[in-house]
Amino acid sequence: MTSLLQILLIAHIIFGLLGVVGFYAVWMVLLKRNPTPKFLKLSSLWGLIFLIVSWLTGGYYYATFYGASVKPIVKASAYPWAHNLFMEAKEHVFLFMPFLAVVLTLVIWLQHEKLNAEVGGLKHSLVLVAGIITIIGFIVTFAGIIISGAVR
Amino acid sequence: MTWDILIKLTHLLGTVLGVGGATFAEIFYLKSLRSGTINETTGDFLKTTYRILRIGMIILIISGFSYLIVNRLEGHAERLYSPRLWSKLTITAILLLGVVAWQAKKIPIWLGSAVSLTSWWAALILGAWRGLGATYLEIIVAYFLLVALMGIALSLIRKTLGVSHNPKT
Amino acid sequence: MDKKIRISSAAVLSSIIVIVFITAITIIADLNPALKDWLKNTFSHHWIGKGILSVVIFAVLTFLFSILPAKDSDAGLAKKLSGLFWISVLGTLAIFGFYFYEALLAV
Repeated sequence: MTSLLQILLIAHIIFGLLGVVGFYAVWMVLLKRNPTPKFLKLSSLWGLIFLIVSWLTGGYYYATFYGASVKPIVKASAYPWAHNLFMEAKEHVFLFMPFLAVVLTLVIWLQHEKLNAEVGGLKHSLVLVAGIITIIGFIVTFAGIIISGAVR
Repeated sequence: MTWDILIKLTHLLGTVLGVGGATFAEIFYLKSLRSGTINETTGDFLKTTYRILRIGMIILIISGFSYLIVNRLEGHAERLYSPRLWSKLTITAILLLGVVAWQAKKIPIWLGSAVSLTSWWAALILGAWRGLGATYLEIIVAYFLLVALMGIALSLIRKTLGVSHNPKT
Repeated sequence: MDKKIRISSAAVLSSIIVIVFITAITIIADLNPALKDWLKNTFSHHWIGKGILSVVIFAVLTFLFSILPAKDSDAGLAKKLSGLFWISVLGTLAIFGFYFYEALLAV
């Protein structure tokens, strides 16, 4: 693996984690009785930006290196399901996240003044969206560990 | 200083802040229950302690995954399938989701406290216990038993102190 | 009508459609090699193709939904967001379920 690919892989993981941290923070703060709009706006934007960086860095690594050099190793290992199930599922479920993140960030930025009172159930539904982004983040993170652990 | 040592130190820092924060948060909370009120000073201590706890958690997650990255890149990928690692990951996930459940008022505070304290101390012990030969299932079953024991212990402590769960703020 | 609610609703509705699209094209492309080959030949990699198509669909639909006349309200937006949550759950289960079957159960 070249230094550039190593850096991209590291960046994918670290920025992905920081993105999930951002959305977890949004999830937690939305559950408060009086969520702070400023914190929500900053956290959601942080989560979105870091997620996009993770997408681009991981995507480059995946498209240019993983298929030809890593996938054969994983499929030939004692854990071919690490690719056949976890990588295949992860790479596609991950694609949900940028759109969920854009929606969450956009709605928070445009509707933040309605979040302190339960206007039309908006806060509750945003809790659901923040929650599913975080849970999908946990799932793809664990899938990533499973895949990396099979590269031997 | 090598990356390995830097990551180790950072991970220890996160552990100290998290385990210390969780422990002191519980102590401050019990003290406030005993006095019957959460005054401004206690409230401030609790707020600060929770903030430090969260910072500890973030440091732990980033440094913990840095360990995994180093293992992957240096040809020790088999360590990513270690039962001890997966137990820590599971316990961390339970802790993070438990905090959400507590914040959403879906679980009572006594259970939230038991999960928090047990999770932090279990992660510390698992991290330190090199050579632990237990399987993933054995560790997780032990963890749930310890959560139950911690719940009972905290309940006994509260009874001994003569406190209830509804301090006035 | 509240422009902010309209834009928000448009983005949510587009996301729902995009997530359904991603789920569908993931499963169909795996069952239909011709589709997967088309994605690879057009976009250099099937995954890149799915990503690009998703972004384009999202952008176009969000624009269209935001200019089309429609009744929007806070409650309507909340309902759409809840719908987005459920579609995401179902999409995740569908994709993991499909690959679980392909990897571990299919002969």
